[in-house]
Amino acid sequence: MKQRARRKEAEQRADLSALETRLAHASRVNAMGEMASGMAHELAQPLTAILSQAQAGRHLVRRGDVEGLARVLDDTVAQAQRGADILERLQRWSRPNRDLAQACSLNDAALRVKRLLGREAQAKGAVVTLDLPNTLLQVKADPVELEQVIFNLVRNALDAADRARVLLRARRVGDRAVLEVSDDGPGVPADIRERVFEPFVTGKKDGTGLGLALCQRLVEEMGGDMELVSGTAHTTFRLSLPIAVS
Amino acid sequence: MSRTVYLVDDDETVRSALTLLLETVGVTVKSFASPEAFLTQAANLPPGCLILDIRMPAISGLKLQEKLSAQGIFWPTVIISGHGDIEACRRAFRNGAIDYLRKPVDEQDLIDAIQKGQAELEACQQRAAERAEAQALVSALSPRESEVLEMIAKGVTTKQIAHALGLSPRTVESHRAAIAAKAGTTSTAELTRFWLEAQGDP
Ligand SMILES: Nc1ncnc2c1ncn2[C@@H]1O[C@H](COP(=O)(O)OP(=O)(O)OP(=O)(O)O)[C@@H](O)[C@H]1O
Ligand SMILES: [Mg+2]
Repeated sequence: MKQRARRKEAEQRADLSALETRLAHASRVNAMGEMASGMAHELAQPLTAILSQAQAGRHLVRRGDVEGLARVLDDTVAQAQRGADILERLQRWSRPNRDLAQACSLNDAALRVKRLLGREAQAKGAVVTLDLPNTLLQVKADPVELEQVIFNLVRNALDAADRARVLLRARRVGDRAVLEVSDDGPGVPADIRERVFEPFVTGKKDGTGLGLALCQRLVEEMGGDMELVSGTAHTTFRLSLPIAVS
Repeated sequence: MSRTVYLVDDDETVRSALTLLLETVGVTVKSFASPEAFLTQAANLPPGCLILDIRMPAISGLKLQEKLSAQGIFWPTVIISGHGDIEACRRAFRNGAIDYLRKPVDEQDLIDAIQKGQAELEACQQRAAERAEAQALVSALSPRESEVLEMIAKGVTTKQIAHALGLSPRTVESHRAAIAAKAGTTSTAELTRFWLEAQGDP
């Protein structure tokens, strides 16, 4: 009797997890659809520019307007590059899960990002400050991906305003490593706040809107999560990652 | 293609590339970064063909079409779009779009569409001019003459008109002659057309 009840419970649990898998799959398929339609639109923009520029270029050649053509070609190269950037991001996106995860230091990743963006920060008159614990914070992640996530967040903070103060603060909270990237800029525009993590949502003229979407996806693959913290004076994105057990 | 073409697309590079292309083939382009920017100026612009991207933030191109109609602006509109959303396409045509082009847009398709739009605009203005002429004519008639013209337009004979209005057939004839003099034609068909046009029927 007791055994039968246990078996039933196990079956129910199995059903439930199958359902969860199906749901997860459905939402992934849905996200793929959104992704495909967003991608079509995103790529259509540089392609439209390239096609128009090339066709205009043809007219200019016929007229022998070499100077005009040279200008058009520069723009065409820039647009082709924009298309390539979108593709690169999408490739990262669709790359199958790989087991590259290893214990890597959150502090080191933050340091490297600060160095990578040093020149850009300087050009914008921004100051990037690190507030890191003395102890080692090891998380289970691919170091390049971890760096990419932090890079995107700091990049957004630098984009938000000139002369930004950007603070990277890491600490341990229970079995999690928490990193906050905050800046004193104008904040995420209210009309996209709810959707900042969705692909192709951007508040910038030349943004792809893939930065945060990609970050979130990478972080989820690391078993962590990220959020835009509300109710703070500074714009703050918080990253929470499982500590690697050695 | 003498008229200005209005281009509304939120992507700066698309805007400048399409403008460049159209200007190299001699089309004058005025571009707008947002439907809002266009809407606030539309009333002060001379009529022209409109090229609209339908996936723009805030008001989408489709909504813009609807808002323009609400302002009484019915310019020929070519929709351009980066994704082949059939529903959006259907709605665009329902709102009076004359063409729907997928991005990237080919030069020839775009020019064909603009030419079609400009031809439509000409025809539309031609009709408006004819109507204005007919209205001017009808308002120049005396009340009696206009009664007579209405009956002519309805296919009523002189005798019947005389009877209905309690006049002699000769008086009706002289009214008719006065109308013909003002209209510059004695043809019943032409007079009928004038009357109908002045009434605002297509
Ligand atoms: N720190 C921030 N302050 C203000 N707004 C932000 C900040 N971070 C993100 N945003 C807003 O969120 C939008 C989405 O950011 P996301 O990184 O996904 O894309 P993007 O920066 O626009 O494009 P890309 O990352 O490809 O350059 C940004 O365009 C910006 O409007
Ligand atoms: Mg970004």
